[in-house]
Amino acid sequence: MSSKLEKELHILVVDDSTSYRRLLARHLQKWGGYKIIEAEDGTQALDIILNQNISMVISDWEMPGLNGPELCQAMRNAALDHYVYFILVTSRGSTEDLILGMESGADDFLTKPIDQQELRVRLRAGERILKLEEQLEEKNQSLNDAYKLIEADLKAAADMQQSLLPQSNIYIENVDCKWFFQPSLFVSGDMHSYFKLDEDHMGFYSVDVSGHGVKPAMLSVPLSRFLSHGSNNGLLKKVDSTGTSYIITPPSVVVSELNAQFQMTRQDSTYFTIVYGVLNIRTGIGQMTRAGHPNPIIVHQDGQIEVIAEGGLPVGFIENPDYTNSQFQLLTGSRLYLYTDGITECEDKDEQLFGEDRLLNLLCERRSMSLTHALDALQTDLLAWRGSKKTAFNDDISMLAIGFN
Amino acid sequence: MENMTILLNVESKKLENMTIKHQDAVAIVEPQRKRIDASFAIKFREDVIALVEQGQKKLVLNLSNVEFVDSSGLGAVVSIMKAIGGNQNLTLCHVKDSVLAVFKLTRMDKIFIILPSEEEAVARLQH
Repeated sequence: MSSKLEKELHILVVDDSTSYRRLLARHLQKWGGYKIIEAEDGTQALDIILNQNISMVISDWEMPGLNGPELCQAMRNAALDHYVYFILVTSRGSTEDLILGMESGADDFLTKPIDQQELRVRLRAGERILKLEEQLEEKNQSLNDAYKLIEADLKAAADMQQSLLPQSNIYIENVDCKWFFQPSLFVSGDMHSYFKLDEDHMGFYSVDVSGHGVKPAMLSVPLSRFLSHGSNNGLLKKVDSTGTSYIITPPSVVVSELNAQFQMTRQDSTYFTIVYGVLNIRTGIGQMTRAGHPNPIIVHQDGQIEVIAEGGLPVGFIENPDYTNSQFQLLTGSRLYLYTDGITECEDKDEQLFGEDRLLNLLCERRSMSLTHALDALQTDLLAWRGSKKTAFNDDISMLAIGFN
Repeated sequence: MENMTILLNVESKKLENMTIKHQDAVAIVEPQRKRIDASFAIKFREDVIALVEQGQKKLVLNLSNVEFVDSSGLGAVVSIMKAIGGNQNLTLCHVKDSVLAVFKLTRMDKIFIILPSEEEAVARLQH
C-alpha cells in the first residue's frame, strides 16, 4: 500500500449530461494516471469536493441548481487545506463570461466541443500547478519546523539571560532598586545589575553590547560573570591584608581592566558601552565611570537634575584610553537612572528620536511617583512614541533605577 | 610620470553602495547609503578592510551621504581605523551633525580626525 499508488490524480467531472460525462471519462481513462469521479450537478459536486480528496474539477458552466461558476466560488470560499485546480467548460465564449469565470476562481477554460489534444494540454498545465503547490506546502512545513526549533532555542537563551538579571529578593539597606529589561529579539545585548559589595557599599552597572540579537547577547553572559560580585577576590573587590575587610576596586580601574580583556578583533567588531559605579549606602556618596554609555541621570527630590556627562571611550575600541571616576552624591529621595540608548534613540513614525531632554523631563515630573510606577509610565510612553501599529521595539531597551532613602 | 598621475586621479569604481576614488596613494571611500546600521555595517567594514589588506595605506572616509550611524556602524568605522593602523592613516570628512553627535557621545570625536572638506582630508594624508 505504498503512497506511490496514490499518484493517480483524482479528477471530478461535473455535468448534468450523462453522455457528456462518460465521454470525458473515456478520454481521461485512456491517458492513464487519473481516477475519475462523476457528479451530475453542482450541489453533489460540492459535497464530493468537501468530503473526498479531489485535486482537479472539470465542470460544465450551465447546470440546474449551482452552476459552474457558483460551484467554483463555493469551493474557493470553503478554504480547503489543499489546492483544487478548476477547469470551467463552456459553450459561451464571450469576454464577460471569461471574466465572470475568472472572478469566481476558475483556473482555466475549455470550450465545447472539447478538443482532445487541448484537454490533454490543459490537464498537464493543471498538474504542473498542483505539483508546484505541493512543493510549496512542503517547503512551508520545513520552514515552520525550522522556525519552531530556532524559536525554542532563543527562548531558552532568553530565560538564561533573565536569570542573570538581579533577582527580586535582593535587599540592600537604604536603597530601592527597580528596573525593566526588554530585548528586541528574545535575547538582548543589554545587561544590568546591582549588588552589595560589603556592609557599606553597593555596586551597579549597565552594559550595552553593540548590535542586537544573539551575537551581542553572547558577550553579555561572560561579561556579567566578569562583573560578578560573588567572588571575594576578583575584579570588583579584594580582601585586604588583614583578611577582615574588602578593598573595593575604583570604577575606572574596573573599566580599564575590562577594556584590556575585551578588545575588538579583526574578525569581530563587537564592543560595548558601560557605566559601572560604586555607592556608599550610608552616605549616598559614590563614584562611577562611564565608557561611551548614555549619560546617567540623577533626579533629586527638589527637582534638581544632574547628568553625568564625563566619560571615556566605549570598551574595546583602543588599547589604553583614559577612564575617570565621576563623583556623585545622592540625598534622601534622590534617584539615579542608568539606561541604554534603545530609549533615547527610540524613533517615532517620522524617525524623530525620543531624546535625552524628553527623558529628563519625564523622570523629573515623576520624581514623587513610586519608582515602579515611574518606570511603568516610561515604558508606556516609549511604546506610544513608537506608534500604535508597533508592539515591539527595534532595539533592546533597559533601565536600572536606584532610589536613595 | 605626470600623465600617469592625472589618470590615477580620475580613476574611480563603484562597489555596492560605495564609491572609491584614488588620488595618488590615498583612497577616498564614499558610502552611498544614508544609514550605516546593522544591515550595512558588516559589508561596509569588510569591503573597506579588504582594500586595506590589499595594500591601501591611506584612507579618506567621505560621509556626505550618511545621516545615521548606529552602534554597528560606529564599530565598523573603528574597526577600519584599527585595520589601517590608527588615526594617522585615516581622515573623515563631510560628517553630518547627527553622526557627529554619536561620535561625541562615545568620545570618538577626540580620536577620529575629522575635517570639513575632501580636499583637506586628502591633503592631510599626503604630506
